[in-house]
Amino acid sequence: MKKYEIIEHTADLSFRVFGKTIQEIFENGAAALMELMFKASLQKETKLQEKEIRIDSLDTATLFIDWLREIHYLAVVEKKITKRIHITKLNDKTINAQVWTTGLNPEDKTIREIKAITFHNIKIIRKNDFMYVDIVCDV
Amino acid sequence: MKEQFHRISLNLWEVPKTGQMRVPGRIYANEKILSSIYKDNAIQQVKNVACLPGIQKYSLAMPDIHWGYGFPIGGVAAMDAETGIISPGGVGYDINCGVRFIRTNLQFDDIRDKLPSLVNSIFHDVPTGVGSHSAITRLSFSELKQVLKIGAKWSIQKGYGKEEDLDSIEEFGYLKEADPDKVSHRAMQRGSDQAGTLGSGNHFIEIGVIKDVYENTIAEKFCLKKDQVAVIIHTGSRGLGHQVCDDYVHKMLIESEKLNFSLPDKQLASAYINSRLGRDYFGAMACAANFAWANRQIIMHKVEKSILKELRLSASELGFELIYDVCHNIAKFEEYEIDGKIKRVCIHRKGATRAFGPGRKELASKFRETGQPVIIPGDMGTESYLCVGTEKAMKETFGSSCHGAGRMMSRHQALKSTNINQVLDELNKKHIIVRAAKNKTLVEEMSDAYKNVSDVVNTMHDAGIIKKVVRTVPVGVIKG
Repeated sequence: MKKYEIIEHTADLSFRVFGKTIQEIFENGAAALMELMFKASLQKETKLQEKEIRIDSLDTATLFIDWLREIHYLAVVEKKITKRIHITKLNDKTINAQVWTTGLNPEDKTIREIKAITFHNIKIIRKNDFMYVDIVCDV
Repeated sequence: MKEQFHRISLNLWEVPKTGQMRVPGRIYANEKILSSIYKDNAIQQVKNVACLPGIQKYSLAMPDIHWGYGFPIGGVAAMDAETGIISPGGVGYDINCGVRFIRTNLQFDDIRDKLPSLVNSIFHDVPTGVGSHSAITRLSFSELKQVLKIGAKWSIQKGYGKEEDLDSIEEFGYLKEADPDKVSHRAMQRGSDQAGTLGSGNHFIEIGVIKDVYENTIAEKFCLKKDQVAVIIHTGSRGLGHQVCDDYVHKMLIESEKLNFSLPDKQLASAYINSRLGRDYFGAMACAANFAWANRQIIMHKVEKSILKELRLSASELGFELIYDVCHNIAKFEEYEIDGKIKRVCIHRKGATRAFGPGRKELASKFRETGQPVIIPGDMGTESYLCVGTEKAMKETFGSSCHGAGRMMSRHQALKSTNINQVLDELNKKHIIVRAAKNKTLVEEMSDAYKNVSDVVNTMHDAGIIKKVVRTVPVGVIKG
């Protein structure tokens, strides 16, 4: 199953993230965000920095956007591009994760500027053997 | 689809009140524009906004309406200042994204041969593109707080422009309610090295030439005439504004369970205007708005310096004079007559421009007779308009009009439908010189991705909401 696909949105950028489990949705969402923003060459291993992330939120869908907001913030402000993720705890309202980032300058490697992750119509849709969620980003 | 609307007048359609809507929707559109509006979810967003507490009269949509997130882009809503809500999603991420229009003493013949080097020079002097920074020295947080408090006034105090520019800026260049203590550390981080930068996306600096004059008396008052060179600058509050919006949508969502109404869309996260959170957001949003005014003021000054240097002119020979600066993503307190009484409202304009008619006390005296200048840029390959607001706008649209052409094709679709060579060929055929930080931006911003700006402007002109004053065509464009 593919991790994500771009979907049409008139003014901004929208993409659909797929996963078999909620955990996969969170992992694939973060990976999709980085792939959409930065060149594939960044996937090569370089020296990585480890960081702990802990977020408490309202419900699973809001938590998912909060998670992406954090990954996005690391990239655009701290100039740290997330390359690996290990989720240690995930429930309806909380995520604890370790992320490994590279300190490359994002401006040099940006293919698409994503300015913010929105909560627009955010909903996790569950099908028989997979689930998906549509995300709209301000670009 | 059209049958779900009632036609109110030639270019005005009403979306009847259904479900949880507290007021009807009203859309300004001619038949052609109306058919393009159906193609995305913008009309549902007009209905969603109509469900918010405190909304007065109508959930309004301008003819450049298109699908946004939360509010549609091109949306206007006035909320009762005592009982209504304020929503960061009704302002947008790029708080006080806006446009300024500057006249010069130059005729097109004065710059024709030097245009390529002029465009290059401006492109070099104003940082553009993704994450652009360092137009001026990185600001300490205490200095940045001054910017957030007094906006364009700070820029002028630092030598970027003249005191009289303030009379030609909406709100005279700053919102006094700004409270830097309500702006997060993250937002301050994002803003500290971005003052004076253009950014990316649809932001631009355009050198244009006046092709048509529609209102001679007003054009004369503004010292504008045919073949004259003008400059248009479009940008906003950069990363700082985005972070303020992001912070407060999140805060309001977390507290949304305390509200006595359900949100039709999480991006419409709101707080009551008179609540602590509502006041905090307004204080922070005002800071971001002020940052945007400071930003456009610095950029204008840099563009002037570039032109002076490249054309070897004195400032008096160039006559670089700000005609007006309008914001088009904002929430503000204004007063209107509603049901026979003067009422204070918190007006949300998201992708819409203030268009005050003559006589309003909020305008500098020089605009009280003409009405407020309204700047409506097209895409990089087509014309732009300078208009003025009318008394009818005060009665029908809470003194608001459209803000641009309005997208009708996604960036993704634009990239699939053409390539950089075709886009450059098209611009070349129109004798438009363009420089951009990224070729991809030029493809995403191609003319076919937008509605025809003349259709949009004529819709509002014919509806009597604005009056066209002059039309410019681009000859040089700098994109992010």
